[in-house]
Amino acid sequence: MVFTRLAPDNKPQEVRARVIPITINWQLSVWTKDRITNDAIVREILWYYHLRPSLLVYVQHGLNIAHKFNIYFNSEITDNSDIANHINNGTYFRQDLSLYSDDSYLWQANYINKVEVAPQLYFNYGVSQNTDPSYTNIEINTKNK
Amino acid sequence: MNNDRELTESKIREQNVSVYAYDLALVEDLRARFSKSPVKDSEINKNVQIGPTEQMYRIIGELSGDQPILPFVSLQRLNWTLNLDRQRIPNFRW
Repeated sequence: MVFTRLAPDNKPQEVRARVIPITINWQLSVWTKDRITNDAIVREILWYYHLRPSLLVYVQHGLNIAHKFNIYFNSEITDNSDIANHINNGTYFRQDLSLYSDDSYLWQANYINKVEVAPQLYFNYGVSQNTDPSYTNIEINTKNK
Repeated sequence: MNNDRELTESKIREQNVSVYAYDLALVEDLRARFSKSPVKDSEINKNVQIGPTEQMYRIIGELSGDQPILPFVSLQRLNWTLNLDRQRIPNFRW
């Protein structure tokens, strides 16, 4: 990924994003007082992100860009309602969803002063023994022909 | 005597850095989903939090004055891995 910005001295500068692709795994837990609410929220979350898996992450590290990444849910939804603290903390229900993103990156910016391609269109065809400058330097100027 | 609770209430600004930027993007999207419209940036939904799942009930309780309001949603990053099969860029020299 390359884009151009103005450096502090107002000269164009190329910003290159260097990346290392990574995969991130998360666990999303839904806590409710009753099971029907828990199932309803899990259903809503699954449908919402199944239809809209793309999110935006704001990348700093000298880049200041927004990058789109996608999240996907793994197949297993675990019910962890009957954990040890179930009674101590009051009755609640908990379901855990695991999700991942495999198009995430570790970012780094690299700044390069912009270099333009400037082809040399004036050719010298050897150095003649003739010292007359108009003879020794034969110039081909493509712009004027 | 110092009140330890005051220390914990100091404003910690979450930054979009490294992998945490992705955690933050995800939890902010979840907060927006569970907020009433219109969603304001200044309003943080306390019932959507990042943290260890097993500690989340206590964390929500701390945030809400020992009166956690259900339902709430917690997000925990389990791990992250390098995708070595797609790792080509570091071979470049700029």
